[in-house]
Order: sequence, then structure tokens, then C-alpha cells
Amino acid sequence: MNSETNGPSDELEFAADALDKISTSIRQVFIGQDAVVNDLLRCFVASGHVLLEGVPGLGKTLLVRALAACFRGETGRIQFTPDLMPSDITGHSIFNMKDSKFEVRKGPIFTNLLLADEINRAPAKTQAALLEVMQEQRVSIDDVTYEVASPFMVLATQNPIEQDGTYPLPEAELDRFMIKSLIDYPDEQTEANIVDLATAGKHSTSLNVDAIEPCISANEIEILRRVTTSVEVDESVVSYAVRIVRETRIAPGISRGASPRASIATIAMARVAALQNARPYVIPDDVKSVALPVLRHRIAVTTDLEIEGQNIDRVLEDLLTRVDAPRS
Amino acid sequence: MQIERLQIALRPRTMWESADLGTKLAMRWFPPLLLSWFVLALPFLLISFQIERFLVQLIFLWWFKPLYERAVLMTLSILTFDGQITIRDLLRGFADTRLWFYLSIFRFSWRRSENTPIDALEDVDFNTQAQRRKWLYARDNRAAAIVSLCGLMTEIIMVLAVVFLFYFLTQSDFNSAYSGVLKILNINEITGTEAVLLLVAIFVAMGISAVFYVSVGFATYLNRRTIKEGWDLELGFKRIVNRLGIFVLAGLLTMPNIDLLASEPVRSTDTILDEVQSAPEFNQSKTVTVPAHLSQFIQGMLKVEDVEPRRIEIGIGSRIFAWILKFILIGALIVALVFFFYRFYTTYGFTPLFGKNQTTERPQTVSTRSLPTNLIQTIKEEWTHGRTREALALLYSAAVVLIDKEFSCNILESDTESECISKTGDIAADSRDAFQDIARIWLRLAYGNEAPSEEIFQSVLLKFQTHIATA
Repeated sequence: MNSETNGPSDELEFAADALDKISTSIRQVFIGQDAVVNDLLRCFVASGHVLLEGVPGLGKTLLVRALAACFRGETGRIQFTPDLMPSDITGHSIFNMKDSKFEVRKGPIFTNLLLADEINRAPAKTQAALLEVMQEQRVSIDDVTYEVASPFMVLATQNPIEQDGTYPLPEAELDRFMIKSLIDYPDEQTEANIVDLATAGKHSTSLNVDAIEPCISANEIEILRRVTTSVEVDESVVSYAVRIVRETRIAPGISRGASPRASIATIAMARVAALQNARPYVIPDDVKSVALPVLRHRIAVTTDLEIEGQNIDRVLEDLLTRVDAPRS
Repeated sequence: MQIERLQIALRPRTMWESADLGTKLAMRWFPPLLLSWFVLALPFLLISFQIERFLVQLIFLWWFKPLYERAVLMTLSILTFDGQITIRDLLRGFADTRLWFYLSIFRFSWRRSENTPIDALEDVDFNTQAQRRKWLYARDNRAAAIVSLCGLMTEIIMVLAVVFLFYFLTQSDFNSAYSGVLKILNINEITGTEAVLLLVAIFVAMGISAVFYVSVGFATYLNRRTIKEGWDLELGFKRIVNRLGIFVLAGLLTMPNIDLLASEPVRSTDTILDEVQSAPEFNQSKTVTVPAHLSQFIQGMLKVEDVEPRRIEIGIGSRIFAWILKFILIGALIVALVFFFYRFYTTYGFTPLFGKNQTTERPQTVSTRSLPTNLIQTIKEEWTHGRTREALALLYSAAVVLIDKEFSCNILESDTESECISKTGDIAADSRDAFQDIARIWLRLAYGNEAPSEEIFQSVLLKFQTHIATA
């Protein structure tokens, strides 16, 4: 793929083509979860971080490795436990007896794609260690700041907080995740295909990502991100996104509404959605298509609705029907 | 009162201990106490069934609670003093004039549980009753408020429990039971059968809680009298006198010359005292050394503890602080009650008393929009004057409204362009194609700033006139 593009039209074509190729590559091994792949890809290009929720065994690690394989990126994985310390994530400096000097040992956070598994098993102090790097893309170790690799993205998974030994994620940290994506069980046919793929001609319990050929370079991802920022967003679309987010603060049944960061994330995600359709401008449909993953972890429904068995997605879908689409 | 016939051990107790004693009294004589309550309250329940409005039924049944509680109090007082329950004794409690105050202006008094024993059981006049209340409960009037609050909460919980139990036992699945409970709690839409069920639930809850409420108030009353009037000491002295009487009698019977004593000439008490005091043995003194531990033991035996709780003199600052704290607590209680009722009303879909309406608004369809009468002319004028966006916005909005009206596509105000196109998928092909063209050029112009050419505009306008506006 040629990273040097000539004009806006070429850039648009390049971006749409690149997004399509990455998506297709991931779907080779991560089967039957198109919505999750779509969310992940949009978030990755929009320079965000993803919160994944789903039962174990649905391929969260595979998803990360598949995305990294697309651009020959590095992956890291941290299993969060109650005794995990902040320095176990960021790294620390130790005294080298031979040289009589302190040297820094960088933690697993210095990678392209970091899978923070079961993030809510660690106490808030350790969770907070991720905050700086998620927001600023840099880490402080003993008063020295280090830039993390680019592109960088955190994919965190969490257990339901009702389980024993879990700490609810602080709202500040939740807000720093651009989207929350839900991985559900595959249907019967898809699951059969996964089993075939994983066991064909070998003894294996999982799919591997060796089949994925790199389709984009890290530099081209930067170009992709730059092109995304040039996608045009009309005032009426921005207003539409803001109205949706503001509605979460006044809507009945929602006890905690989304912050302005949600409006920003909505537009950023909608831009990538427009690029996927090779469109140089965002339309209200793009906003609507990203509203659920952007908002579902940023709001809390009232106890009444929880008792009635209403889940957040249902509440958000109702909310979207109450916000008028732009017509002028 | 014949305190020697009391069936409970008397001793000065704390507020909580006396409440505990009241609970034990209620548990011990629960059947007769509950029966006395039901005998008196049942006619009121039957009368309430004749009332048409549920809320009035509820208030009627609840308002006469002090009346039913008198029966419980009288029964309890008779049982506590080991008496025989007679109709005459039971009715004696209703002769009190203050009862009518409890059924009118003092109905909301939260000190009813501890005041009623004074009014009903002590045969004193109206003013003396007031003085007795003030004296008896001076500096210790917290129990009644707490008991009233607990009684109220217990009643509410029991009513809900009875209703829940009924539905969960009679309905086949959880959802039906749950919706039945919600329905019955919505008193605006309650049916006749549900009203009867709810009234019976309230009746049962009131009866059970009344037994405990009255018993705790009665035990508090007994405790205060024990502390203030030294009932325990009086009872103790009476027992000692009884025992001493037996010893004296036994001693007299065992004396051999009892008849000789009676035959001696009678001397006055003063003469005997003078003789004793003038005897040389009377002025003799002897020092006895007692071991220290024995001395402490004797002093401990002789020490008389204060029956009355020690009073601590407090300054004016502390009193003001106490008053402020009291008002804050009362305010907090009122706020909690208001909040509780507000949440109850808003949760179960009643008309909210204030604040935002929690009822979910139904999404509006676009067919409610009004369009200009000379629509085509207005669109053309906007286009001619260079207001491209306004012209196409009107064209698109009009197309949406007219398509929705004509084909009943149920297009909502929240539907985006793609959703509108999707909803018009099943309408007549010409109208559908015309609408899709309009939507596409609108999308390009509105969000991509790509204005259509004159030819394209005229073409879609013609399609609009032919396939949408005409229809």
C-alpha cells in the first residue's frame, strides 16, 4: 500500500480501502462478531480505548492479537489481580550493582495494543495507573516521562461487578474508554465454523493469527488517523450528537448521564464510520450507529429500571427515538 | 393498682430494656391481645367495605386505631396484674374523655403509646392527667417517638409482605405476581376485589403491630412509674413485711411465758425508755476492729443505690444545641417521609407531585408537522433566491411528511435519512425512488456541502410533484 497519497479523494479511497482490509483480516480469525470488529476498528482509528465485556472464552485475546498482526504491532497482556501494583503495569527503576546506577525497567504498558484482562479485579490505585497513559499516551516512572509506542490502545475486559473480589471501575477511568463493546456468544453455525478452523489438521484449543498477513504499516495508521480528522462534520450533526448526550442527563430512568467527553467520542467515532463508507462527511446515521458503544458505559440506569429488567442498551435505544434527527 | 399482683419483675430499666419487656409481654399474651383488637376493629372493617372510595376506606379504618388500641391496653393491664378479664373492665378504658381527643386533634400524636396508659388506667381528672404525663415522662420522652416510628414502618412492611405473599402464592409465574403487586399498589386504578385484599392486609398488619405498639408503651409506662414512684422498693418492703410477720408470729408462738407477759402491769413507753437510758450498760462503749475486706463488704451491703437516674445539670449552650439537634432530627424525618412518598408515587406511575414527569414520552411521528400551503412555490422561491439549503430542507421535510401521511410508514422525528429510506422500502416504486433521490441530494448538500446542479434540482422537484406531492 502506498502511504504517499496525492489529494483528498485519494486519501479517502486509501482510508476506506485500508479500513476494509483490516476489517477483513481480523474477520478471518475472529468469526461471527462483526459488530465488535467494527467497534474496535473505529475506536482504534479514532485513537480511543476499548472496554470489552463478555464471558471468558469468546476470543478477546485473539481479537487483540489479530489487530496487532494487521500492522505488525506488539501486544501486551496484563492479568489484573488484587495484589497487582501500579509499578507492575508502568515499570520501575532498579539499582544496578554492576554499574552503580539506577536503570529503568519498562512495564508491559510499553506496547502497541495492551490487553488489560479483568481490570476490575485490581484495586482503584492500580487501575489509576492506567489513567495517565490512556489520556496522555505517556508514562511517568520516578519523575521521568516516557512516551508509549504509537499507535497505542488499551483493550480492557471486566467482570460483572457483582462477582466477589472485584472493584468497580472509577467513573473517571470509565469515561476514558472511548467505547464499551459487548461480545456475545456466537450462533450455532458460527461456532461450528470456529471449531473447524481451530482444529483443522492440528491439536489446538484456540485459533492462531499466523494466517493474517500485515495489510498496513504503523506509519499508514498514523496517516489513516490524520485523514479521519479531516472528515467534515456539519454543525447540525454536531448539534445532533450533543443533543443525544445531553438527553442522557435529563432522561427519566437514567441516574447518571454522560459527560462532554462522550460528545467528543461520538463525533470521533462517527468520522471513522463515515470513512468506512468512503464518505468525506459525517451524516446523522454515523452518529446514531456509534451512540450505543460510546454511551453504554457512561450512563447508569435508575434502580427502578434495573428492577424492571431494563438494560442500558434498551434505555439508550428508547432515548434515541426521543431525539429529533436534523431536518434542516 | 395492686402491684404485688404484678406478673413481671419490677426494677428500674433503661428505655430499651422497657421496650424489650413490652415486646415480651406482647409475645406472652399475644392471642388474647390480638383477639381483643379484632373484636373491636372488625365492625369498623365491615363498615369500611360499604364505603365507595378506597382512599376514604383506608383513612376510615386507620383513623379509629386509638379506639381499637384501648381494648388491647385494657386486656394487657388486666393480664399483667393477674386479673380476670370482664366486659366491665374492658369498657372502663373507653370512658376516658381524652380518647376523643386522640380520635380528633391528637390523632397524629406520636406519644400515644405511653400517654394512653395514664389516661385510661389512672382514675384522675383531666388536669391531673396532664400533670402526670409531664412529671412521669420528664426528660425521657424518646421512647414513644421511636416506638411510633417503628410501629408505622412495621405496618407498611407487613402490608407489603401480605400483598406480596398473596400474589406470589396465587400467581403461576413471577411476572404475573410482580405486575399484580404493582397494580394493587396503584390506588388510583384499584378494583373492588383488590381494594378488599389490600384493606384486609392493612387490617391484619395494624392488628399485629398494635399489640406490640401498645405493649411497649405500657411497659414504658410501668418502668417510669417504677423509677419515679419506687414501685420496686414498695414491693420489696411489702415482701419483707410479709416475711417478718411470719417470723414474729412464729416467735410469739414459740415463747413459753406469753401469757405471763400479758399479766404484768402495763408501763408507759417513756418509763421504759428512761429506765433503759439510766442503766450503766447503756453508756458503755466498746471499740471493735473489723477486717478491711469485711468492712467493705458491709458497706457494700448497706449502700443504697439511687433509684432515680442521676441528673446532670446542663448549661444554656448545651440546651440550645440539643434543641437544634432535635429540630434537625425532626426535619430529617419529615424530609425522609416526603422523599419516601415522592419515590413511591413516581415509581409506581402515579401523577408526580412535583419535578419532572417520569412518564416516558412517546416518539412523535412526522405526520404531525405542518407544511406551507403553497409548498412547491415556496421551495422554488428559496432555490431561486440562492437559499439552496433551505429549499432542499423544505423539500426533504415535505417528502418525509407526505410519504408518512400517504403510506403510513410510521416515520418518527428521530429517524435519520437512512432510516426513512429503509421505512419507505415497501411503498410504491415511483414514490420510493423519488424519495430516495431527494434524500440523497439532501444528504450531500446538508452534510457534505455538495449542492446539486439546476438540472438535478428540477428533476427531483418534478419527481416530488409527480409521485409524492400528488399522492
